Amino acid sequence: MSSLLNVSNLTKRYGTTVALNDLSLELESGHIIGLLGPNGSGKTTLIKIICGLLQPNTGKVTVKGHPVGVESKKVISYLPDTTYLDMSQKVEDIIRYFSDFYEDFDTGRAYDMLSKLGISAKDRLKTMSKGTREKVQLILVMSRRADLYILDEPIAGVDPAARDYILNTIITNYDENASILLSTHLISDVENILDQVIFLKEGNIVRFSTVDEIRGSEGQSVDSLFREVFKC
Amino acid sequence: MLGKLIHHEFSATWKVPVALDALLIFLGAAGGFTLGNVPHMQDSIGVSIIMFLITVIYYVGIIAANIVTMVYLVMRYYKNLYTSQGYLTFTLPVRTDQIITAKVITGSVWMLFCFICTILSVLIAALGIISQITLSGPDFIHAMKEFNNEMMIFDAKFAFTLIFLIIISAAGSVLSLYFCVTVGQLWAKHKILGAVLTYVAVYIANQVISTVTFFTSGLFGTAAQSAAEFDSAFKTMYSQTLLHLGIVVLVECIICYAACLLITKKKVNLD
Repeated sequence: MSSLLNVSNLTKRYGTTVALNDLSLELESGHIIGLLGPNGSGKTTLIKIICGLLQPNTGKVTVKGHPVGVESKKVISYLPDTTYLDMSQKVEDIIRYFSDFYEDFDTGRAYDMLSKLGISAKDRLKTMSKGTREKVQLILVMSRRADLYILDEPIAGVDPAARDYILNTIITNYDENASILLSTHLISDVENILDQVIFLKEGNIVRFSTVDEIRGSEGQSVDSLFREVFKC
Repeated sequence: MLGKLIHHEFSATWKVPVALDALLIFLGAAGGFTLGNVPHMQDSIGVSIIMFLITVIYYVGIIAANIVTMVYLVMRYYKNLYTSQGYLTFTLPVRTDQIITAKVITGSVWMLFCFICTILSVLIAALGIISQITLSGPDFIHAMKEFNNEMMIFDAKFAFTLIFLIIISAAGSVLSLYFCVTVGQLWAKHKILGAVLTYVAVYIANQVISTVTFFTSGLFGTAAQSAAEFDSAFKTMYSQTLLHLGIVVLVECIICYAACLLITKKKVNLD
């Protein structure tokens, strides 16, 4: 398998607080990777640096050999942990926007997913509930045929039924040659879809292994290992 | 990609500036019509008060339309780049300079339209009032020509300088505000306060630079000229002052654009 994401010696400080501490990481194509850690462990900071939303103090990130920039953004489909769309826009306008800028955006797939959920593309985002808006964002992100999907807390703050829909959408809409980096602290909900997990603690990777290894060697689930590692 | 960014920016922003531009024209027409139809009753104090109020409303309306256009453009810039919407803007597969350039071009065009509509509004209002003066059309044009000959202002060079100044001022007003917002986002907290403080600093710097420009262009030196040289000095003064102001604003535009680009590339700070 080829290297999809390469992070080397990444450090990010906010004043005197070290969010990422000389972190190195290599991800390959074709996996669903859980980026797991408690609040403040550096998950979102790492994701933002990979997506080009934050500048690191030191270190380097490459995606398919490209440094963070236009080429890396072409192959990353990013779902932030907040609503990032203009609320005054109609869904159809946003679809047109995505279609114009992302060559890998599949408009048909987006409309298909919208119709399955009964969401009208003529509706404006501001008229929708928070849950529906989050589904629209997920549909937009998963309608791309990207190489790397980065999903930051996609199931936080939604009801269990919506969680099932979101996870189902994720696993049924990504290319097997692509990878998904999924950040969450709701481990029991996502454990069954993960291939690999990264445990992040105070800006350091404390564990990076496959889910099978954890179950085999540790004899416990990812959720119980997480509780053990991050016990307060 | 720059073309696509500009296209989407125009599509997303046209409604508010166009509505405000239409309001400017309407105010000019309404003000000109109203003021132009009352002079024959000017003896009445009540009518004079009404005329005064209409004039005040007209000027307030013009200033408000200009300010609202600026605030709308700067708020959109702030929201698109430095709030949660920035997560989408900065993850598009485009260069940062293309994002900034698209914002500057569309903002400058809307601001330019606003300036043009303000000038048109004043002209329409003035025509409405002038139409009540007992001068025929040809007589009025003749009078204006005489005035111009006396003052020796409106030649091709002056017109070119004026157009240059209007265009560059539109870009300058937008860019200086974008610069303030961009500097403001460097604050970890209180980003809007940071932008406001930067605006105050930019405003003071602008006033100092403008005053220096006026002095070095001879605006305040005209009184010292002899009467024989007054006409020539008057023309030179206007042309030079406007040209120098235009060059100063152009330099400001370049500095603000470069600063916006550099800060956004190196120090983007999305919470």
